Amino acid sequence: MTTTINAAAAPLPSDASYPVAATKPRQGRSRWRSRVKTTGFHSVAITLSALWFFPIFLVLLNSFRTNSDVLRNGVAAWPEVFVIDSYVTAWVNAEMGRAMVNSLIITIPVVVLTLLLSSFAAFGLSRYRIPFRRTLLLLMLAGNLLPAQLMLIPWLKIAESSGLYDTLFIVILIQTASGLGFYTFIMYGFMRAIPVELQDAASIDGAGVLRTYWQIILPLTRPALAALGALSFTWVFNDLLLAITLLRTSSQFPITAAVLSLLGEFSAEWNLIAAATVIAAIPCVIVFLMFQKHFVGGLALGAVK
Amino acid sequence: MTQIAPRATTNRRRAFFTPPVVFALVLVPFTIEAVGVFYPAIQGILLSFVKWNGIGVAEPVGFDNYVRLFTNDIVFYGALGNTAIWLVLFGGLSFALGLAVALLLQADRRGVSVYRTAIFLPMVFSLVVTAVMWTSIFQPRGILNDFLIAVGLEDWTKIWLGDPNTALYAVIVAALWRQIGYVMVLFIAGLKAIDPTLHEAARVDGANVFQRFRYITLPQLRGVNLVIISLLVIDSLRSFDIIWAMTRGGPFGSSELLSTYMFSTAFTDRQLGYASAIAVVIFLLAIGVIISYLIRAFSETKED
Amino acid sequence: MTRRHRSAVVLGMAGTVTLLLAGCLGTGTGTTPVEEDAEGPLTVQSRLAGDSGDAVALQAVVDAFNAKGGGQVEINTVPNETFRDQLPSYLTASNPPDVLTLYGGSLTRELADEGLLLDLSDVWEGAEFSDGLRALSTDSSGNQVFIPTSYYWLGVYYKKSTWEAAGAEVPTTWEEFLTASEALQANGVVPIGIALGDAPWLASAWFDYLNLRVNGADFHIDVLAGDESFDDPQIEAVFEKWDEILPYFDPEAPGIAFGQAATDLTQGRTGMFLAGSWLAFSLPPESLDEYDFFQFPIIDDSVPLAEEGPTDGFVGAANTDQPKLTKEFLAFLATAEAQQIMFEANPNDTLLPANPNVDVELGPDALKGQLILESAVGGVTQFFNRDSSDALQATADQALTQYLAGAKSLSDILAEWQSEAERVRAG
Repeated sequence: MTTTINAAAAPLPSDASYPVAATKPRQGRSRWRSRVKTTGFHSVAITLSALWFFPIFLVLLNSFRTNSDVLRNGVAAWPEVFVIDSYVTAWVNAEMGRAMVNSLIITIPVVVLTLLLSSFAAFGLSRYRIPFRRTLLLLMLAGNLLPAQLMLIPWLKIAESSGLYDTLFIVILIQTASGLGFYTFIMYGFMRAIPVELQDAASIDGAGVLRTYWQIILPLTRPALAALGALSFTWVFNDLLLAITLLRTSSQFPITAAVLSLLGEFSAEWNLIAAATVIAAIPCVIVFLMFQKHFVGGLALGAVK
Repeated sequence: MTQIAPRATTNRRRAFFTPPVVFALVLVPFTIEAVGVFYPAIQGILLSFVKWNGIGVAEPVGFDNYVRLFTNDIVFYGALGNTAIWLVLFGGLSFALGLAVALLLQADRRGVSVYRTAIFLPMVFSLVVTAVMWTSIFQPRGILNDFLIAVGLEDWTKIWLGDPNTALYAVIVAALWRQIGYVMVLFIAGLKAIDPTLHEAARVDGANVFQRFRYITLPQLRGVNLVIISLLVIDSLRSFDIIWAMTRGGPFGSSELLSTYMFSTAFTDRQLGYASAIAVVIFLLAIGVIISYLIRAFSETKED
Repeated sequence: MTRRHRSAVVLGMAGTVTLLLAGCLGTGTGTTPVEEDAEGPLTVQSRLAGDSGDAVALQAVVDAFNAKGGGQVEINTVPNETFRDQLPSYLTASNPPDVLTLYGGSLTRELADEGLLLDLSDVWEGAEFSDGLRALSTDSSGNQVFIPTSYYWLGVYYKKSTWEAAGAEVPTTWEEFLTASEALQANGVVPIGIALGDAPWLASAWFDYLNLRVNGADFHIDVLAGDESFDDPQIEAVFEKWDEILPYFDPEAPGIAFGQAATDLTQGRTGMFLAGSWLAFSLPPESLDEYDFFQFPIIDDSVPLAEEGPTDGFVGAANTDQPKLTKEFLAFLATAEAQQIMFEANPNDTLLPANPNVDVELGPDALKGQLILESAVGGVTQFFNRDSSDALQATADQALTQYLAGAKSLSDILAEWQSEAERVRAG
């Protein structure tokens, strides 16, 4: 069938002209069909999730083992005994409390700043006729195409000469700066799709630029912001390279470096490292779950009517 | 009733007058990026014109690093080839599988947040440990081979990470495992942005699932696709941690990518100038692939 | 572009680059000596993992120093990998950490030659170390720059029960070694375990020892320094010996991770593992007495016996703002008293104190290790990467894994190794 889709012309299901009669037998059959579909969906989804979860499951298992158990039986074995000592020891040895705080001090401002600044820039570039707007966008994106390793030493020099070496502040600054191109580009992609009618309606109502931004555009890009918020939180929280380049004192280290410090030159207690990893993963999981509910609901494009 | 323009190629007629505050909205982030990224990047690029081991004095050598890279370095060409394979397989499969999973899990039904979390979890767990788990799965007497033997496919067992023919692909599996969750998240956000009335209208018109996918979903996702493809190209070229953790680019350079080669040149060989040259090549590759794709995509969308 | 034009452009670029990078790079040579020490605690930048025996030992000796009241010292621990990658930036910083953990070998010498390490010759004047350690701690201009605190041994580790079950006997000569390997193999045990998957440098242990046994320490050092080449017939002789035991190596080795290899030894799948005393950390701690090690077998009686004894210790940063206190602390570390404290605080039986006058009771492994090292009349080397460089180590990893996999002919491997080595040395 090559029916062209013309949304404006097709009648919507809530239209009163939709036939109501002859629903009983159809209802029974479609209920059975939908039950099959649900079961089908869940079985596929459960299998997929279980397979996906398997390596994490291994990590969890290892976090409940003793070191000699891991040494004797390898990393992929069922625990001989379940212990929670690893969690306590990892927490203490890697000084995870302080490291967790450092990670949050770095991550939260970076995420907030990045989302704010990149949505500003995307808003400006996508909704207004700024000269060279596409070049600017591509230029900003190009900034993110550079491998981080290329810039480590220059960043180090910036940190040293600004006197901010070994502070969390410089990590926040550089993390924010280095993500801007990426995120602006992504937000631009989402903002493009918003029809211009909404903006026109707002300006007819007398809304200024910032009002338009806050009240019209930003709510419409909520799923994108939620997605980016969760992703950027994860990326920044799990960053290691920038942290170990710009920070020198262990009391400043975020949790990624703290976990790494459990690895000795020739020895590694994988049960401890697994436990530390589980602890380190918790904030990101919480953030992801929190942001999930913002994925809900499509854009309220129907509001145009 | 106003026409709801469903296609991505909307007539985004912009305001003809741009308020000055909009310039500020754009220039502030741009300046921050200029200071925090462009300026160090230029310094980094300049590093590619010297010979430096990190502790002594840097010796300017002009284009020597590049000459050596292109004319006298077999490892470079091997890494280039592997990077191309990585780009296509890792990038392509991330896209396809990420979309598939997003389509599966887009509806907000009961239990879906559990499934989504399960797929996203790999991104959240430190690579140090997950790489060890994957390495153990791929061990000669590890879980994968045990499973193959158990289902009677003993001939398929290999020394996954030790065989130059399989090492790269084994790492791609682990890398996909990590990546798909994040592609899924972006696709879900994009799918959520599609007006549900479009699907309703099509369903009433009699279109089946595949037709709806082809004629509504895909076109509506065009903006998101742009973003995701660009991101995947960037990520593919930047992929480093997982390969380094599992194989260090071995055996015999069979899983050496440009990124791992750059790292080992910088930190093992301590040739920072040469490593910077490799980084510049990666950068130019990324620019070449992405910018050409984007320019084509932009011109296709009949933007004003 | 004409040739003259082009070289003018290159020169112009070089000039611009140098100017622009002047701020970026720094000279790396020492600054003018500081007259008075700055205030504040001394920082020890340590790569010793949090609860390891070494870290505990360091904490103990730091506490002892602080208790003396001469000055305060603080330990700052960073991950081992990070330390290795960031070491140049630590030392070239304008405010470097005052003391750093390090090991003896060419890296220390190289850093000292660049003027990044504090000259400790006056600290060494009263020091009680052996001549070998003194030579190890001296840089190219004859100054001492390193304070050794401990060293360890390498041996062929095995699980006693595996050998008993196979009826294999601990060898001292090469022929006995072959016999033992045969016995193990006949009993279904893979005689020699090794993990090339994520630790290809383990193969260098075999190369080092075979070279030391066949050609002696002098030749080995010459090869690593570049005075002899890898495609020399003497190196070929090393591989001829290696060919004799090649069938006994684990065929799965290229894909095996280090943890798995240790577990294989524990579970009796493999028979022996050439490693340093640090292997004990990968063996179940409650059953360490089930394992033992023997000295790498003697191949040629006429070659003076040499051993590997990697040495760890401390250095001072040349740009430290507290040179006096740094030297005081390092001088303390050099004393028998301090090293005794360190040794006693360390619960592991994997190290030997560097100071010969330390009065401690050695554990059974350490006693054995000491005997092995004392028998090394031909000299003590440090290990491939410590004696040469990480970059040369990478070339060895490549060549030796190719050899063990039988990927290429020996002459190809050695020729390639030599050209790679030359490339690395050219920088």
